[in-house]
Amino acid sequence: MLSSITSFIYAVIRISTPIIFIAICSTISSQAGLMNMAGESMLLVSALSGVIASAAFQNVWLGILIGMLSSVVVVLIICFAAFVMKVDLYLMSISMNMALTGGTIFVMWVITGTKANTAGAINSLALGDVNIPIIKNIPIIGAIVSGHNVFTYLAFIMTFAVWFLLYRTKLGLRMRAIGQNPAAAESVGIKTKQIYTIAFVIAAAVGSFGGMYLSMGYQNFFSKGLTASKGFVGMAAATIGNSEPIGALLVSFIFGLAYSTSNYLSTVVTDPYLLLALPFALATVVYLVMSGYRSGAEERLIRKNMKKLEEMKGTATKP
Amino acid sequence: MHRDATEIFLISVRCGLCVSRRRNSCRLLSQYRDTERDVMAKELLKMEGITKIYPNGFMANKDVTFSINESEIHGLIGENGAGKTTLMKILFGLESHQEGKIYINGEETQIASPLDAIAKGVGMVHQHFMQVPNLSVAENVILGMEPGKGMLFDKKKAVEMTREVIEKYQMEVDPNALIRDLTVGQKQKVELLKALIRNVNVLIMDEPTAVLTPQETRELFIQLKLLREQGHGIVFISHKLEEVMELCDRCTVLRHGRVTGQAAIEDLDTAKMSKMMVEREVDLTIEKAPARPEKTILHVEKLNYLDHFGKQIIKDLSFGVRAGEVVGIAGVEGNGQTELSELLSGIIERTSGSLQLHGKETNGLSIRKIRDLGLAHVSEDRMKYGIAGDLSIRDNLVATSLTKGEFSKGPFLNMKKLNEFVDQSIKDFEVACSDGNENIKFLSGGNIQKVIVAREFSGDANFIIANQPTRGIDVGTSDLIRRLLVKYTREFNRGVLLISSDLNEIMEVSDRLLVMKDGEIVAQFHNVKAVTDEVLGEYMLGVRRMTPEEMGDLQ
Amino acid sequence: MKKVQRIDHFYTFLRVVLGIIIAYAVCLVIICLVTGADGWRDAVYNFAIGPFTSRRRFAQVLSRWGPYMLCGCGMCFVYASGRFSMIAEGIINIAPVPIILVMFNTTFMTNLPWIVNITLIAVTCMLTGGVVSMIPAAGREKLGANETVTSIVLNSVCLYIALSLIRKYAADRTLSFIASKTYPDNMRFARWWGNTNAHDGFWLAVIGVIVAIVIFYRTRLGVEIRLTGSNPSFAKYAGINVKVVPFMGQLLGGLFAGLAACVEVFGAYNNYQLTALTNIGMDGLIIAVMAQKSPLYVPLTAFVMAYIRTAAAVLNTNTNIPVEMVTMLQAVIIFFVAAEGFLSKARQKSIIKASKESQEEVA
Repeated sequence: MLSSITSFIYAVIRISTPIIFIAICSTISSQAGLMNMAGESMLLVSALSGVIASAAFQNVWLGILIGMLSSVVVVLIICFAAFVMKVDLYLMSISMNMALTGGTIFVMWVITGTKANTAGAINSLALGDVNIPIIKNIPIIGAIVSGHNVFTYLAFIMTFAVWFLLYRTKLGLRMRAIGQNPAAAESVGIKTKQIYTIAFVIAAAVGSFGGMYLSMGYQNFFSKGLTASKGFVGMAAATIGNSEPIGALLVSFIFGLAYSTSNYLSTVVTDPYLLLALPFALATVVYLVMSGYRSGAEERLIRKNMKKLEEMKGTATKP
Repeated sequence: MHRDATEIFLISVRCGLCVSRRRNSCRLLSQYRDTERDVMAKELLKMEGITKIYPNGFMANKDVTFSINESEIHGLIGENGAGKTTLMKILFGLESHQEGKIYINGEETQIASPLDAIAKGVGMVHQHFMQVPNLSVAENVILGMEPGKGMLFDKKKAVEMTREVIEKYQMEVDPNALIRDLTVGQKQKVELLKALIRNVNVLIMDEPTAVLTPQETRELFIQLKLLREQGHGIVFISHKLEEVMELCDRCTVLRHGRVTGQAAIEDLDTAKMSKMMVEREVDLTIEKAPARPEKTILHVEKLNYLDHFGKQIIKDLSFGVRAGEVVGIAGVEGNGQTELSELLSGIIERTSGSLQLHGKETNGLSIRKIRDLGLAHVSEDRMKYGIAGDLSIRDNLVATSLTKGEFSKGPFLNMKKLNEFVDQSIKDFEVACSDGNENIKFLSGGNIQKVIVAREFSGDANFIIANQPTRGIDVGTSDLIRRLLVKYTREFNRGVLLISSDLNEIMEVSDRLLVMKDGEIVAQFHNVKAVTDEVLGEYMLGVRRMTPEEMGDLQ
Repeated sequence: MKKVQRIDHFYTFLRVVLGIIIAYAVCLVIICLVTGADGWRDAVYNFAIGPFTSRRRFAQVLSRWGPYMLCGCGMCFVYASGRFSMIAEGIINIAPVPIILVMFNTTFMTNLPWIVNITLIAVTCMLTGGVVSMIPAAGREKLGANETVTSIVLNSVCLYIALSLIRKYAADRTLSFIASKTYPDNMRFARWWGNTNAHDGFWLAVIGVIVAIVIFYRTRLGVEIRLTGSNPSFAKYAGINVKVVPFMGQLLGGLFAGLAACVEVFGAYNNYQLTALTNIGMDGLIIAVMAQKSPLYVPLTAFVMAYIRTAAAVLNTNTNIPVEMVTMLQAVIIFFVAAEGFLSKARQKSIIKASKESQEEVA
């Protein structure tokens, strides 16, 4: 019983990993004031190019580097379209997602001759699991915390790194300033488009690890549909987590919990499709509820002002 | 008698200021006053012969010469559109000028951008604060010049630097507080800090008191006087004469882009200044039959409105508009006129009070329902509340009458009737276009305004709010609009509320004239023809104020 | 004045056409690169001319054209009201499911005449689409949730719930994959062009487009949707309910997507066999963007999209190049069509020139 609980928690962490990457990378762009609709693009392009590069060079680190760069290049194209050519950012991001959903499959076909997955066709490399010394021997905690993929530990490090970037660096300060009042930032000589682009490029680099985790950690090949809208689930997690890295991390775990619950339930519930729908349904509901909780600023203001007016009248009549 | 009341008012204001000032800076001030007379002050900055013509041909500044000395507060006053802001934008590198030179510390210089201006020691405090609400005071102050090694941001150092400036200039702000928790007055201090930490010695204050409460204004004045002690030159833009009298050492008056007066404050009084500021240029006459006001259409009772900063914009306002008369509201812009027209039309929600159209309370009604009661509204913000920029003239013309029976057959539009209406409107209002299918964004400003006016005036609305209906519009169209407003009241017995800062217009068109100042009505004139510019100017600028008895019935 | 507008229209048109041509050229280059020196002639021929070489293939274009037109019109309503809901994608999968359940689990429809059944099918599909589209719409207008995020996450929910229901209540157990039983003849669109894919649903789509155009330009709601999308502040000032109108725009989008689903599922196939998202909703967005949010141009842009998709399918059967290749094109098309910066300098120049000329004429 105890071991099934620990292995369940272990699975939650494992399955949350790609969502964490996208969620924390989305916090960077949202702090800079723009929604990251291109999470899916980041995942897809890095997952495929990481696999191809690691197979071609037989060097996993080179694979990861190229996977990361490919994601950055795609985001630079989106930024060029949005900030120079003035295409609507969200429209461009969404069509880039579409393009890469097909494009990655096409490239996979060109290289391997199949449209299903790269397994067997090319010998790509992956990062393995790490056992943390000492901790791994602690009962319960060891089973939960130790033995995860390198990418999973990286996700936690990245969460902290993103937090550090946002709250402890000059760039982070500028990003947050632009996100809330671009005119104020511009008035002191900060170039907004430049910061937007830098924010997106960093987000692309962080997000790319989510894609590479899927194809070089969680499994060791690229397959059709491997992202399964995780780019948007991660984006939703970031928004629910108030665009704070730590909040995004925690919400990602909630979604991971939903995913692994649906995996575990497969022994009980015989309808596989309902289980597949579960995490997405949960994401939708939580997202809607949290948005509702945060809205209504205007009505609050009117009520506040009415109260203030009464107070002012009260003090005026007293003396 | 009026003059007496005003003087009592002004004296009381000054006394109030003296009391609060005495505590902090009275001693320093008197010292300063002594030294000033002895030593010839050093000139920090000079603008010479500045002429600015906008691409559309509008001359905003004509041969303006203006200078600011060390340890001086220099008032720059004039009505809206007089060219004050343009002049300061040139100085701050936001606009370029055609003729004239700028000297800083005696050297001729070019100012290319705001950053360049700051580098040369010129800082500006905008009316709309350039601040990030969720960042702390210190973070806002040092944004763009963050301390720290390499990429790292040293928050402690930032707080330290901010605290240093705060102490140097004796401002009471907590560097660790978040901007969103500050009052407007404190936010303004942050804006000052932003300039001061960048070592500027000339500070441009663009109507700084417009957003402040009286107490905050007093604090600001103490602050500005302190800065003067420390050698800064301050340009104080305002149209509140009592403030200029209280604060400034010298004063330059602009009207229609030209300097109409420049003198030390000792040599001026408010009446003189008001005369320099306000004057009708050409006489414009509209022939009209005497108004015969009938029953009240609009009835406003104890209306209050607080904006999103919690500042009270409209104060216990009560007045009325009757059928068959044009009621004009004169006043310097920013005294609540825009908010009043938006409250009447339902765009913003009142904080308290009563608004009745044809005896029906509008509280809680949708804009649609308010319009159905017979309200038409020409907004001053033409592009925001006037047109949908990428749609056709036809769509724009019918936007407000979509629910009217004549244009619809169930959910469908009666295209025949609708096109007839569109063609008729284009013809009647002489909109220069080929047909109603043309996109409105290709029309000129005057023609866009004709479309708006056609839409608002053609319906059966019998109460019209016209807020700055002719601003920036060619003479022909302006004339047409004014004549129409008069015609509607005489022939169709409609009520018109005209809000305008164009004195020609307001005095010529109105049958009854109200003056609005600080969200209140301070004067009413029944015999508008007899009102002189000077008198009106004094009421608009707060030099004078009528008692309720003098004003009489406002309904 | 008229001249300036004509120049503006011309450049918009040029952007769309150039966008399509550039995307198309990119596609041809990729085909050549992939097929190499031997096969490129064949491949290019198949891609460019393929859809027109036989009745069967052209019928495929027609059968795609129908749902594309409907979905494109639906996206026009969504997009014109200033919203970005992508729920059409999920609606294609889930909208036909309720009526399929009725079809195979009751005898209610068995003996009804074709016209009654098909009306019933179309209406339920639309209603389901409408109901589903209300979730992201209400989320946006009532709760302030971003409709793009909600709708895309919800698309997966729609897909899996549809599959779950079909598997449980309407599956054909003899097949190795999840699909419903074959539709009876009186509960589907009949083929009208011999043994090809062209079916009566196409005519329903044509009617749908006409209805969309009428709603868009000839009804109060249509004008309100366009006004709100163009300038929400102005719409509010004009007395339009700026919360309800975009909601209605998204609802209309859902209704049309539901109808597109009906035409797609009960015409092109003999049974329900959608096991993944179809991309029709996304294509609908591209079609609406190319049509500049106007249903009037949707038939044209939908045809372009149907042609490209069919060309890819023809290419796939002849050369094995995957159909996914053309989805890459969509980003290229959007890049040029929606780019206000593209050709903006040339446009500005000719507008200035034209207005100078007209001023001189006046003088």
